[in-house]
Amino acid sequence: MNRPVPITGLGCISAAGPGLEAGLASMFRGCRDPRPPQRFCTGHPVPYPVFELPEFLGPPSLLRTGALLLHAAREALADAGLDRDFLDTLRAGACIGTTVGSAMNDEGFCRALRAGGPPSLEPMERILRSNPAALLARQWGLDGPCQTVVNACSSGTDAVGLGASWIEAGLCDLVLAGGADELSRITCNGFISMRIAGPGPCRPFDRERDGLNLGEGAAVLVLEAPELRRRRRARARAFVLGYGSACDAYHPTAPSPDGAGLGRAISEAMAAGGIAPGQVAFVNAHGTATPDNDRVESGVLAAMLPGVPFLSTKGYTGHTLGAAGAIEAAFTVACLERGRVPACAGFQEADPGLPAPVAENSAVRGAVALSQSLAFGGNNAVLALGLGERP
Amino acid sequence: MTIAIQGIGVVGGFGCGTADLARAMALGAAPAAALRADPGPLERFVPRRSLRRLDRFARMAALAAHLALEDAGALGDDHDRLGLVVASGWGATGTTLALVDSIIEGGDVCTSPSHFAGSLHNAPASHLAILLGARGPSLSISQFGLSAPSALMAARLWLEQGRAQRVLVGAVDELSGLTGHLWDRQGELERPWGPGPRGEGAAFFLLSSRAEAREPYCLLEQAITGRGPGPEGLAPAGTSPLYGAMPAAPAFDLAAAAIRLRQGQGPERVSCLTRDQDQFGLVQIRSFRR
Amino acid sequence: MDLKEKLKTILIAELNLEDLRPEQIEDAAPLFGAGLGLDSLDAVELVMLLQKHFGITLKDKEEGRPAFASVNALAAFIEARQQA
Repeated sequence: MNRPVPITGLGCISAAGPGLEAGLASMFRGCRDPRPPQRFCTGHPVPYPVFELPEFLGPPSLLRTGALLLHAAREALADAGLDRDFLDTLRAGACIGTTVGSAMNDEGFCRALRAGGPPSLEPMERILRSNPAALLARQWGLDGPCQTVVNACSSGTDAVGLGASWIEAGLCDLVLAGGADELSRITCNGFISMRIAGPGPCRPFDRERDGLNLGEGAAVLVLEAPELRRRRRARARAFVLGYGSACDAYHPTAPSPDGAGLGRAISEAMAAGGIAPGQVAFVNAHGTATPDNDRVESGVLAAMLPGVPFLSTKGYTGHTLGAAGAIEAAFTVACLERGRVPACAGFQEADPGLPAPVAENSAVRGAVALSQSLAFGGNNAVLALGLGERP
Repeated sequence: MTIAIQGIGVVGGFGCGTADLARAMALGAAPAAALRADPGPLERFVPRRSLRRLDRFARMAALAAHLALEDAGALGDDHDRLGLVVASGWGATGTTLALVDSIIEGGDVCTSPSHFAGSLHNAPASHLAILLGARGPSLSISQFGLSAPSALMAARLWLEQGRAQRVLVGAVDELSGLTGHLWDRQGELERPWGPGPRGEGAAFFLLSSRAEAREPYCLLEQAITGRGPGPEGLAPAGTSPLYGAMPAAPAFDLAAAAIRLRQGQGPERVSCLTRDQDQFGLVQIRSFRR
Repeated sequence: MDLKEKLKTILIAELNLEDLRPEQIEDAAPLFGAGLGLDSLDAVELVMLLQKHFGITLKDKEEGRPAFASVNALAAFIEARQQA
């Protein structure tokens, strides 16, 4: 069993809200407003809705993904009561998940290159300046380990789990762990071409579900060594109790029908935390609203955690790719603190033969919850999170 | 826990496999403008039909990974609990260009889903897991010049913490129309990449605990990243004329250092330092013979 | 080149079936599962290829299902759409 790793600060920006509390409040009010993207157009007969942050503007020198990350990091550090001066006295690391934020991919640049060029180098310079973990380290003077995780849809969950393992291993005293991703035209086109984007607001676990909506955002969790937390007398909002990770090794884009990889990852996370199924208050599921994911995922939950309430928050945020696991970990902590989970937005009627998610805002009982992600490429990542101290 | 490098697989401008690299190290190599890698030998390990989805980038990674397993005598083993870590600085830029081409040529409705899937950073790790039947933890990393040290750091931790008994870890970078163009204009970049020659390729390592390793190359004492210039008294390796400059080069530096250690050449402990912008990566190896 | 011949050439080139020649693909052989052994990712690529090479828009994967049974089925589907 692992020693629990304290989480002393949280920051989160998504379509649900510009901060964690605003996001939770909005979810409990049942607000969601996916629309066709405003910042760019795609030439499809159907306008695929997305969860965009139209008012968010980052500096032109950085990728939007980097700006979203810095926003969430500021909230998390303030929540943890940490400033730059104090960080300078610590060995502090950064472990961040992303997809768009680390891709040498700018459509304008590539088009100009193909048209004969030479294109302006600024889009590439922006990418080179904005590697998420390196950017955080530079911005906050973090001199510990630094890692940018690009595990597709499980990156955020993996980053938090990996960051916690650095604390356990004594590699550093503190880790800013999380994920960030912006909406991008190419990514939207990519998911639409794969026929897994839904033409309307997404319906996780619903019998009529027909695909995901993309979203953008970022979340950062402050993970601290227990000794540091004691010295600072900082409040632990929650603890990372366990992290599990396993690969389906089945198909580049489709999940394994038997969900074996997810099962392994859940077992690993729970064993690491010494958690029995009866202790799990709820599961924040991946729940993208694609026919395949939701079928496989709910099947595994039914087998391993029967009767445990589960929900997807992607009905409020869209699928934020590299940020998703981190945003959902933050939501999971906030829900544990409240003893309540919001309804699984978009769900109306259960798929016959599969368990149903939480259909209304509900009380939950227990001090432990799971947050999980299933990625393109077959990665499955699960975090076991435990309630911290009351303020 | 003491961690050992059991096997090494490399493909680059010098050729394919540790024997080619060792030969090139002995002879030195005439600098060429660009050191290209040939992933063709991958068909020695995997039937061509099973490779149809792998682009050149993924094939280089898969080749080096299979070579590392072969080098360690572990090709035929059960890889169910094998951990995988694949790092790249530039990613699959060849397929990224092909993806944008599909949009330019036919409009958004002609976006190629295969090219999109292949352009994702974790595509090589995904293909490798399927080819090997590796169902342990899988991690893809991308942070330019620090990608390889960061990947090795992750692999070491997995072994120390018991997440995997063996880990296949490596780095891959590809010269493409996009990276080639940036090389051509590197004088205009804020932080130039050179000096050249420009290179591409993949270098992979099979890691296990010292106890489990048979005839390891060496012991992997440390792999870490941090801020600043790194420990005093160390200098980063320059561009090698054998494999060229690329973000993944530190993985090749490690392979060359491990080969030298096994040959009994040079000091018993070797530190490989990488600098990237305001950060450093450090990989330390030591002879396993005391 | 007749339509079926063209389809086989497209399948080989675009789905990267490098080890096959057009004459090795039987007109009536299944494309998915058995036969050619294509999968779900090939299916969505094929949907895109129908758009790219023949200007045919499929509403969803289901609409394409009968068309994807074999080269014969694909050719018949395309001809029917182009006459409509």
